[in-house]
Amino acid sequence: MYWSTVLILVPFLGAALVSRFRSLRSQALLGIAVGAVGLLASFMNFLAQRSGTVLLWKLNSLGLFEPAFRLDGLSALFSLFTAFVWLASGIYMYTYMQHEERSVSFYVFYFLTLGAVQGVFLAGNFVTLLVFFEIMTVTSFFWVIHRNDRESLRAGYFYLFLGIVAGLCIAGAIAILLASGVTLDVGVAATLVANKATLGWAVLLFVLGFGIKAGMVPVHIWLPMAHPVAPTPGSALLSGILIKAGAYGLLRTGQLVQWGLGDLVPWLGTLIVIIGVATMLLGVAFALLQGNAKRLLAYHSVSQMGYIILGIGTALVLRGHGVDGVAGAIFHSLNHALFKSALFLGVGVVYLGTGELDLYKLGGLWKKYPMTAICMLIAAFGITGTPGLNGFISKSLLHHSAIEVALSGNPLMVWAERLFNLVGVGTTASFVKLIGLTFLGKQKTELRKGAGETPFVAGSMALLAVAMLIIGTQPNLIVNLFIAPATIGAGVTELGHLSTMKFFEGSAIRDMIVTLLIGFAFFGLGMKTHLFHYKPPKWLSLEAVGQQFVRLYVWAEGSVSKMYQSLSTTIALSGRRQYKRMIVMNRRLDFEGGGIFTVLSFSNLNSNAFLILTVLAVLVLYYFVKYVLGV
Amino acid sequence: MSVGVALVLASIVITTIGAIWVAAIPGEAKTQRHCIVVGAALVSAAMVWYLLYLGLGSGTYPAFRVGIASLSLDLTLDPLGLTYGILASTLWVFASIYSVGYMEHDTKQRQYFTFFLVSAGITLGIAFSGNLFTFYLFYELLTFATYPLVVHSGTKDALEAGRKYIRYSLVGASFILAAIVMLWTLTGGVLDFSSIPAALATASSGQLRILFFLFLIGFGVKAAIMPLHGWLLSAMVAPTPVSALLHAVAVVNAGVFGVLRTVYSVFGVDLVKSLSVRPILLVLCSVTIILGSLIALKQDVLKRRLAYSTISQLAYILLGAFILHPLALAGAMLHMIFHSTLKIVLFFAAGIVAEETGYLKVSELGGTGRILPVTMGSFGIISLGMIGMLPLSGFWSKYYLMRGSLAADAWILLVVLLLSGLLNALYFIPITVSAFTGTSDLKQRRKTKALLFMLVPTVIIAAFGVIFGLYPGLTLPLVDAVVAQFFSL
Repeated sequence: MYWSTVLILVPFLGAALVSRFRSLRSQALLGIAVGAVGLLASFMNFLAQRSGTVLLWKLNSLGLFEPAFRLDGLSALFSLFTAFVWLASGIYMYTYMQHEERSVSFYVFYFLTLGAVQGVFLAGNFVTLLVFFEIMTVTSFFWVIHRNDRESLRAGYFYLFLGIVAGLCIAGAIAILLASGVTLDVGVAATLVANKATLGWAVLLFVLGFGIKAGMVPVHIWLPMAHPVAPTPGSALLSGILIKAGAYGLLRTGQLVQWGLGDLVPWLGTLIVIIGVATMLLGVAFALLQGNAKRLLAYHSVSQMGYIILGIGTALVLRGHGVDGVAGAIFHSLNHALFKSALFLGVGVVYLGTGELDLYKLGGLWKKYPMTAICMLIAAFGITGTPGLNGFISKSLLHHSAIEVALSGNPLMVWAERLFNLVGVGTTASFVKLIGLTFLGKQKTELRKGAGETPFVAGSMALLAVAMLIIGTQPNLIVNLFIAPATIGAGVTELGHLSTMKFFEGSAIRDMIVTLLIGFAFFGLGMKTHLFHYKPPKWLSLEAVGQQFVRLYVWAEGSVSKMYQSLSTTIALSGRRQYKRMIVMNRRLDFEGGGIFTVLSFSNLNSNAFLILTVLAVLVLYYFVKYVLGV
Repeated sequence: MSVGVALVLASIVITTIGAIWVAAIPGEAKTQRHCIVVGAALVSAAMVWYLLYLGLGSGTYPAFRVGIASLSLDLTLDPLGLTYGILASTLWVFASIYSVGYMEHDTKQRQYFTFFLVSAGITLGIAFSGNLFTFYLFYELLTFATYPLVVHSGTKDALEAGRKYIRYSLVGASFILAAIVMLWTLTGGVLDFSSIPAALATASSGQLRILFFLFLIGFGVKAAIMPLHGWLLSAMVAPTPVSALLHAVAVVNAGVFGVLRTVYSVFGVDLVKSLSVRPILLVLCSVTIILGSLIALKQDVLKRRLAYSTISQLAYILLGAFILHPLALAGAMLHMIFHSTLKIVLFFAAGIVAEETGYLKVSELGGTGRILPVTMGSFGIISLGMIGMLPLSGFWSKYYLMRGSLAADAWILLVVLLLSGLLNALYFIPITVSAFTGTSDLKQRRKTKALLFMLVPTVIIAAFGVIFGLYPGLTLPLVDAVVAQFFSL
């Protein structure tokens, strides 16, 4: 647990110190140093839990809030790849930040977010998790608005508001969990549930809250806006790591309901499968239509998160036998972190050189950026699921799981399996487009001076590429070392054939190659027919729906407030009239009345006192009549 | 006379003496006046803290009584009153330091500080009163003592606002008076908080309902329950420390405190439950919460936006009180403490911005974060607490309110609380973001001593927002004592 403290506190320390470092180089070296310490610490953490022990650490002295930390296979793996990708992007920033404004501000939030993300992965109860989750939302928001232009501000608002909604959902879920008699510990299955119905609501709120962070359809809208506008290392980390916090939360939610074993929330699996497939499909469909490289990658993040969500969903449907789904989701989280950050970093290199993100204006850059081209090619092979690279392994696991649920004959699940392959085709087509249009063909843009491939940039991407190659060629080693313990950590007890699984089977490879070939063909077709330039009508987007809602609200609010205003004016006017009449009456009593009224004068009392007396008089009269006279 | 009783009296009297002293010394003696004001507030707060320490330690609380029967001046402490007393007296210290900076160039400082200190004593009187008669006495006095503060600037607007304030408050108070008279007849002259519930047990539920709503309307004015909130908005013309202290902490909380007294001390949990008025009350609070936030969205004047936010947040406390569940009451008490400490920072920050830049509207705030980074930074962080984000204190009160509403099987209230959190985000976040991202032609000004006097209390209280967020257990002894006072667990 000592190393967990280091993991969380050292980045915060870095954030405190970075403004003291004046030169860009020393800031970057601090970034690399913190990243390296983080990697070391998370590696030590990983070793500490390797024997299968779950390490818990609780601070009991703080009253209502009990910060707790937990280290098991799942949290160790997530924390490890986070530290790895963070280090890679730290190395990358050595070059990149020389071209970016306000480096100190970016570094401060770079460090703070690292600490917060590690906190999310290491948290031992949901309240502690929420603390770091909220910090993560706020600090990474500053990446999104770093450019400080209209587009990034707009994206930033969406990012922050949906992040806050996510936090509120999780807070609500925590309250409901307590009310249904479940402990708030992370990584513990809910046994002894006092109230199953309320537990369902808690789980639904968890799915919504973590789903927002994970880019789940239909609450993904912030993602394609926010990820492209951040500076490149920010984009890479947002897409590579931060959305994994959502995936991590969903995995822990699955663990909470015992992966469907106890039938605590029976509809959950089907719901998540549907959401997962929708996320995959929508993400890839929109990715195909993008001309902006970063936006294309952002939509692919949505699509790839769909795979992870689908894996979790199938595992839930299979009621405790979904080891492939859980392992696939975990494995794909790791893989996606590696290839998506590599792809973003590569696009960033091209952007530094050309100042251009529009794919249709790029081309022929492989000569200028050979390392970038190679690394991005490896990453693209990874994401499309080419045999021999990492994506193939996790997608095989997820595909296994999808086939297993399709065996049940439920048409929904059968279609989920079919669409799985279709998404693969779309992914291939859009990555052929990305790599092809960027690196092949004729060079269309002038390069800026002094923005070539530095060793730091190339090294950071190479680091990621090597990791991908190792995973892709040694799948069983990786599964046994990392994925199996993480799957156990996620609460799956029955590992089945996971550790001895044969990934390079003829049929699996054939399926994947067929998918790739169709993808190539689809790309050719799309370029010929200008299909990729198709702009979907405005009303189809969720934003348009949102705008309609806003318009409706504004209209309703306007009419209601108009009514209220006319009502209140009427009341005020008539009140004033009565008030005046009362005063006139008083005067009359004073000056014109005779007899008793000359003695009993009201003229010295102001109207307020008069009002008080009137109320009193009525009440006294009432009680007099009621109790004294007994009427 | 025991130490406790002496302290109770001294904590109230010392501010009054301070006020008289301030009024007596010449207007030019600025430093002396400032020392008296801050000193009196500090000593008074220290006494209240010591009383809390004594009370929580021994479990017995001092009581002081002079006069005949029910119509006596009765100062009896209890955990609920101490919570309010601690809150008000502590924040008064910070507000007085802030006032020193804020009123730097004001010409009527003597008048301002006199009534400022008088109000402090009266607020403690409300907190410590042990029967309804004393309570009513101090409650009315508070209206009159704060009136000069509201109309301080003497402009036409301010005078009009002052009239509105008096009108609302007195009408409200007349309802309370009527309620007290009715209670008198029902209980046969019992006005002590400790013995009213038992004396009321024989009354019919129809009478009790009327009595309850008379109290509710009366206290609802100061607690700004919609539609009785009109005065709060007009009263925002007061100088910022007054707005902050009186209209986010002391006066409005006096109303809320009155409602809490009505529900828990006058009627008692069981009696209110038997009246079956809960659904109406919860709907009233929910409507105030949501509507207050929705209207706040539209406000461009920062202080008005904060005022509507206050209206909405006060309804949280009442909501917690009306759920009639230990967890919800804990949430209400926590929210009373946390909302005050958070909201006062927001007001302080708004005041600093107004003083340093002259900007009053949200739409003008773009770029102010560049020249007032600490102020707007505190504002931003604390506004996250108002939304209910961790690690800020606002989360914990909401968390307890949510737990309480679930425990009382009112899940719809959870939705209300979450929705309100989102609305809070919608009207708070743009302020901070535009302050730090927008452009303006503001020039960096010299850092004055006055700014320092305003900034230091702001930052200290803001730090408490974070400290309470990470160590919410700090408030636990007090909150537990309040819950134990009214619920036999």
